[in-house]
Amino acid sequence: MDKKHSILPTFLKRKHEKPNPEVKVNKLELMITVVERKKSDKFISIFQEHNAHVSMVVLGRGTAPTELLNLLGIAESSKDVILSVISESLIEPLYEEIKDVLKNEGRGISFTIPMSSMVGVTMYKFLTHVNEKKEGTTNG
Amino acid sequence: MDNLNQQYEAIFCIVNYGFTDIVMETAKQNGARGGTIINARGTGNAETEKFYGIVISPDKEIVMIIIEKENRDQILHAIYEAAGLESLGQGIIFSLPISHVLGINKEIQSETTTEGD
Repeated sequence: MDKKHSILPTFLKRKHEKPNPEVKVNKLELMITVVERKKSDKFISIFQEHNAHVSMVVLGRGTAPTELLNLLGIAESSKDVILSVISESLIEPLYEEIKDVLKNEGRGISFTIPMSSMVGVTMYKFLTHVNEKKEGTTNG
Repeated sequence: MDNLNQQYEAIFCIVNYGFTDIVMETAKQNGARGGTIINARGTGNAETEKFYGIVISPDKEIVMIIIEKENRDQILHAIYEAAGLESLGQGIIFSLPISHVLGINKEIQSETTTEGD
């Protein structure tokens, strides 16, 4: 019991007293983008230009709430759901670029969910592009 | 967790196949707009099925809805009443915080004719 109590506080203390400014925790987020069916290729190529290399496409359908569409009987429309993993810092510039594309032809929506943890240093490095940016961190 | 979006949250709702209409209907009545549906397959526990003598249908659908935070509790409860675990829909409903969101049309939010997602 005593040992446990003595180890833990020093460990925490050390961590708090000496914050290393070099180490930046690069947070990852899961970006979910819903666009019209067959438009996903275009979006994925934009994502890849912005270094979001991991994307998966799932087929989905949207429930458009427009009265007119209901009358026409096409209230449900085919959609592509793109799941991509992206660094937090890359989201803002990416969203700036796809803002107009989404609005004009995608009739889509995009949102990101912060990830709380992940396993695998290699994968983490790949996702955060440690080699490109020369940022040494294995937090995750 | 400091830079989360303060206005919106994402509701995920996993229900048995065919119950998405009920979910969307309920969500819309409580202030949600569009939603997106994905097909999925549940992995029911065979032992549980034997023990309770029920069948857990593996065909599932996942409904994703972006909602405003202030409506969240109301929508979650309403969906649970309509298609929760105690109903035939056997739905699991949860909400996740989101940090960035794009493509929500604010101007026509109040009207019934809103953009679907």
